[in-house]
Amino acid sequence: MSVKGTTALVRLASNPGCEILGAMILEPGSEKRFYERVVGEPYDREFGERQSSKRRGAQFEQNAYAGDARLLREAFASHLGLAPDDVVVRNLLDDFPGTKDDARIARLSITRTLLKDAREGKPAPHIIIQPQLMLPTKPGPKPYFFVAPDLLILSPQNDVYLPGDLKSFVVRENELSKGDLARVRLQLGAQLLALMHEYDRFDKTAIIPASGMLVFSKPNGLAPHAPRIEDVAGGVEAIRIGIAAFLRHRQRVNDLRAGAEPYTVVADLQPHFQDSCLNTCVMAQWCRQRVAEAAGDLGDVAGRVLGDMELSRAFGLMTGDIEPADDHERLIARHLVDLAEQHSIERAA
Amino acid sequence: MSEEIDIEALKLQEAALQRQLAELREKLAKAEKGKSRASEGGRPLRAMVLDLLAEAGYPLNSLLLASLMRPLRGRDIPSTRFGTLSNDEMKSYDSSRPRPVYLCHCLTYDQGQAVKRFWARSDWPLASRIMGPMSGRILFLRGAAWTITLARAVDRGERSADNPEILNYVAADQARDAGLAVKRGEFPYDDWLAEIHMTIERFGDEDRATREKSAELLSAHLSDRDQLFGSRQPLVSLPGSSAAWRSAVE
Repeated sequence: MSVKGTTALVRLASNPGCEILGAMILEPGSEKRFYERVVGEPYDREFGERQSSKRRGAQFEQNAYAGDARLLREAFASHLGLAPDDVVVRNLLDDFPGTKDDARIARLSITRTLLKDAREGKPAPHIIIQPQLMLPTKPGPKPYFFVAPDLLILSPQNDVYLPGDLKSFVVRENELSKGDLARVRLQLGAQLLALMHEYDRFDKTAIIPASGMLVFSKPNGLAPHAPRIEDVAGGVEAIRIGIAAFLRHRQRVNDLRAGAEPYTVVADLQPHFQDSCLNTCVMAQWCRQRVAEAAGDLGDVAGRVLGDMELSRAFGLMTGDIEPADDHERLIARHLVDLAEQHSIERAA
Repeated sequence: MSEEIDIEALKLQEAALQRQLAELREKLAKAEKGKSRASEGGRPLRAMVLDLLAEAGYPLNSLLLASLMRPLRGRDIPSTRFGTLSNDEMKSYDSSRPRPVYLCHCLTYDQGQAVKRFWARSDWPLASRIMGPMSGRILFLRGAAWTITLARAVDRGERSADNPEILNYVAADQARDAGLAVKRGEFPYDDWLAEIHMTIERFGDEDRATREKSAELLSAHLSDRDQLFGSRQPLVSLPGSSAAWRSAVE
């Protein structure tokens, strides 16, 4: 996964305790490069999104934007209360294509003008494709994150836009799995927070509903489902927590590195290994080694229950070779003994 | 032991064949490149785009231009090439040797800023290079109609194309994107064109009025250069430059 833009914010929100992630976001270049510089050897495992899924995503977007976004106009027409032909679309990739910073800044400038125009009652498109937003942090290294929703959709009630994202996941009946939903809610949360910040720049009275819109692809082919409105208040809060964590990590890395590159101080930073790291982070195995022989290595639940207890001590508590040091350990020992009896593990004599 | 020797020999043979295949592919790629250059007489992209625009008579999207270059002229154009073309054209305009015609961009109706993916010719009136709220759709439909017309002309033997089959598929893609019924292997050019022209007529007058009104205003405010390449974007202040910037978590 990337450590730029919205993805970085989603990862921070999912694991705010990880200082290694903070250093990785501060380091220029790719995640793999960070790994190579820390570990000293090339990253030789599978990395990134599957090619087939990237292709599907790109094709879904291409279909959705084709013909002045005909499929999107049809999908959003009833939400906007208009006929599909009357929906006005502006694709900012037509104005400034590309992913380089100068193109992003040009799109940011246009997006800001359009947000303002809509608030002031001037003509504004109902759907903005590939708008650009920005989420500032405090001055210092990495003082902002670029956030680029796939869409902004004008709310018919109050002339504010809401973020929307296209998802090419195969879903049936417009429903998706809990894990996927949690991730896309965080994405929408980051987009909404950035949007709220943009409105706050010129109109402090603008009330932005804590909602975002998701458009999934139908299982047969790549046509969009009806848009689904998500409540993302929780996602916005999680992103705020993630940004606050990033500011703490940034401070700690800066205190340690004394002008050197962030990867040089990784050994002094605190990792926070969790199960999901194995699917999302190149540093997962490296961090896992640092909790080897400790309860965290058994997974998130064991880590939460046993804290940073070493496995040998937990085993000793279970077999009775080690006396519990306090009430907490006594409780753990009792549960471990119960578990051992259920699974026919013999106590030491 | 003899089995081991055979495996080694097979490995050597495989390596030799792979080398041969790589050489063959390289030769083929060079030949294909040479052929497409030769068929265009090595014409630069700029000249080909100017010709296509003159033929179409309307601004065209760079995505459509790129997808037409292959079937019509046998040239594969990477999308980044249009970015370079835009910069080259601006440099050429700023140089001391004027050209009779420049490639330029469409302009937004309200700010006069460049819409970089839509290309036009400097010898067209300003109103035809302006994009109003509905112009994106009108220009898409006109581009689609033109592509279908090209495919029909090639099908009737009225003009030639490097790859007529691919041209038909580009035309069918345009028809599908316009929301028309498309069946595999069938190319009802006239039906497609009739439906597209009906949609253009529905929005055409309003769009033309917006563009003409905007052209009057923009021609009074924009320099000659900005009328071709767009007015400059306003400056954007990036966070981090001043301690007064507020964080999103404050």
